[in-house]
Amino acid sequence: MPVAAGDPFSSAERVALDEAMREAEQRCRAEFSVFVGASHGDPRAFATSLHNSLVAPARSVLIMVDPTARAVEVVTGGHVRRELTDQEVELAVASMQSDFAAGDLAGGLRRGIMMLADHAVPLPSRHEGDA
Amino acid sequence: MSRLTSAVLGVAAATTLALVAGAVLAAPASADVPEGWPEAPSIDILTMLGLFVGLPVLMAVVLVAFMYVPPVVRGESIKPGAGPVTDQWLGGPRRSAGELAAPDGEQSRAGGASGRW
Repeated sequence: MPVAAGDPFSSAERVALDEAMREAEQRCRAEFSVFVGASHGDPRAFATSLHNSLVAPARSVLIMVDPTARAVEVVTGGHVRRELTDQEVELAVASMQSDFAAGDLAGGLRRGIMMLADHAVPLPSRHEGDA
Repeated sequence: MSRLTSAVLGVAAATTLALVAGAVLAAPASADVPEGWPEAPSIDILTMLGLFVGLPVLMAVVLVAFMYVPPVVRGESIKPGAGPVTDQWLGGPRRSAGELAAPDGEQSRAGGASGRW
């Protein structure tokens, strides 16, 4: 299936990303949203605008990637932040950065989403498998 | 100019002339087929074209196919120098960047992290 002009993802990559987001949402009960495109103005301010435009910002995680500006921003809502600390988000961002630098946009996003979901799992649930 | 110098110049000029004439008049080397060797079959123009033009073109086509068919099958773009990325918002509301909410202020409780590569 041909890729539309300017589309950063192939159809297979899009399906894989959708699956990763769905799996992440089931795992940690937070909403995931990914924006890839041009950030208008300051990337952080633009990312928070996107985040605030979501249906439930407090329970959402937004990943914004601007391939032209080579910028990645992750915004976590107040509720999600109880489980997912900024330090844990930094780890996921560092992982995505290295994948993006290697030219793997879709793979980096997929791995980043899964890392964020792993850290965003509420604490009692993280140890369910240990019992 | 001494006689010796004139003689050296004359010899140099003669040698140069001989070399140039040899290069200009040289014909491609040819020789009869030695006795006992089989006669080489004559090749018609069509076979020759197929061998020297058709085969290289066919090989080039096969190489190009090896390069471009796999990404096309995977649904990837094969355009050189992809243009600017179209905005994609997976899991986002159906609204454009012009209809976005305001960015966070000082009182924001949102967190996260930033990165550049």
